[in-house]
Amino acid sequence: MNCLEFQDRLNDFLDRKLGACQSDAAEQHLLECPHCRDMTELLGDSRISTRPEPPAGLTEAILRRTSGSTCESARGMLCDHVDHALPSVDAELMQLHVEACGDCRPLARALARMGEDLPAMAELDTDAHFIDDVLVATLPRRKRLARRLAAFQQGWSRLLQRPRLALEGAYLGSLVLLLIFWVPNSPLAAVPRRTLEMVRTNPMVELGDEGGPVAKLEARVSSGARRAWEATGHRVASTSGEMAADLSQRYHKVEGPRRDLRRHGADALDAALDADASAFKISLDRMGGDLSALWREMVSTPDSENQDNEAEPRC
Amino acid sequence: MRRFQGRIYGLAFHYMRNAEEARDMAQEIFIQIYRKLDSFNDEENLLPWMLRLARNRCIDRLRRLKTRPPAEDVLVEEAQEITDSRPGPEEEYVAGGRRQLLYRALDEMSEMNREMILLKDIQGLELSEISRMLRLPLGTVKSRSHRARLELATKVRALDPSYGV
Repeated sequence: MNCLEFQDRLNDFLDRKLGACQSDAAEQHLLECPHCRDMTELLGDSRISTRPEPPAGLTEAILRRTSGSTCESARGMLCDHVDHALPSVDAELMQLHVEACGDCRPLARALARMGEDLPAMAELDTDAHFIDDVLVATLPRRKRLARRLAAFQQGWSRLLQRPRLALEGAYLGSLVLLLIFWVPNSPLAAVPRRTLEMVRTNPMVELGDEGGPVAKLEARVSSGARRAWEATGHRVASTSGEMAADLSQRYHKVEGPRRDLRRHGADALDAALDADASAFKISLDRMGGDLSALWREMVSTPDSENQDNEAEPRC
Repeated sequence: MRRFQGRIYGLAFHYMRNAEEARDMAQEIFIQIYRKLDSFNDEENLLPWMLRLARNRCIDRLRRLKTRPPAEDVLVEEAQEITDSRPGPEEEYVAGGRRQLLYRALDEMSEMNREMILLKDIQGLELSEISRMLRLPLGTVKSRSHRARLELATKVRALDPSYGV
């Protein structure tokens, strides 16, 4: 490089804008040429004196104002980094940052651990009766009742099979007897006292002897029953016999409507299975007619039949 | 029902934050699912559908109760007793401790972020499903989910700096 070439490139040299090759050549020329060296020093000092040194941290401050701090940017992508959802370039940068940053590294590890721990909290064990309770609640009412009845029977039989049941029964019975006979306001409170008095005043008379109170009561009850049977028994027997005969006669009389009802019922069932709505409706109407005929026959009295018979020739 | 009862009960527990309430709630949810099952045809999306229904029921119940149970009703001990079905007593003990820590941290979170963690990270729903469920744009759900995860991680680390290390 000669002096003219050097001076052409002097500004770029001072601004460090030359390529590596040209920069080396310029430096070599400076070593060899004192004139160009003086000019470079002069120009360089004047340029330096007009360009103040930037304060420390200026670049970082500008970057922070324009694109935020590195950690803030990194945290925006930290979840994706833990989930391996970042593009490869960003993933490498994030990896470098996380490894170097004392704040982001533990956070990333905590996020990774949460990824293992949180899904395990999705499922919790229920108690053994949970499914039974839900099934009972979703069953139809009749089945639900049957199930509750079965549970009640099971509980009751368990209660009866308890070994202490006899003891508890005796205790409870004693308590009831005490309440009945020893509580002052009870209507039976005077019974024990009166019984004792009766036994003391006439101890020789046995209650079951002939002429005693029990024998008298027995005689009175049996004579009353005999009189009641004589007064009503024969009448009841004859009336029930008549009613049975009447019912049997009516049952035979409605054979026709019964047969029709069965036939129309079968027709209705067929129509329902074939999903034939019109035939189903017709069969239902006919069944209604059969039922009303059946009812008329069953409730009609002999008098009304006679009237019908008598009225028939007139029609 | 056997397959999903744990999930539904788990979701109800996280919303109701009380074991008894959650059990009653899970029963009601299953009864409602049973009644509505005839009108549901999409077998593949059965779980999201059930979880959506469960969430709605829980929120209805909470609205009826008006007041949210206090934080101490989360019953950390109770949550520890209600364990998932994982084998290995030692692993279970360690995992139980971490779960307890997470329950505490979840307690300290806002309602919105906790729900996001519950649906996305605990129940494993897709962001699109959560977006439909909460009627929010997908981008909003995604950013909320990220924020919620960061908040939970920060709170867990504040409670126990050794978590994840």
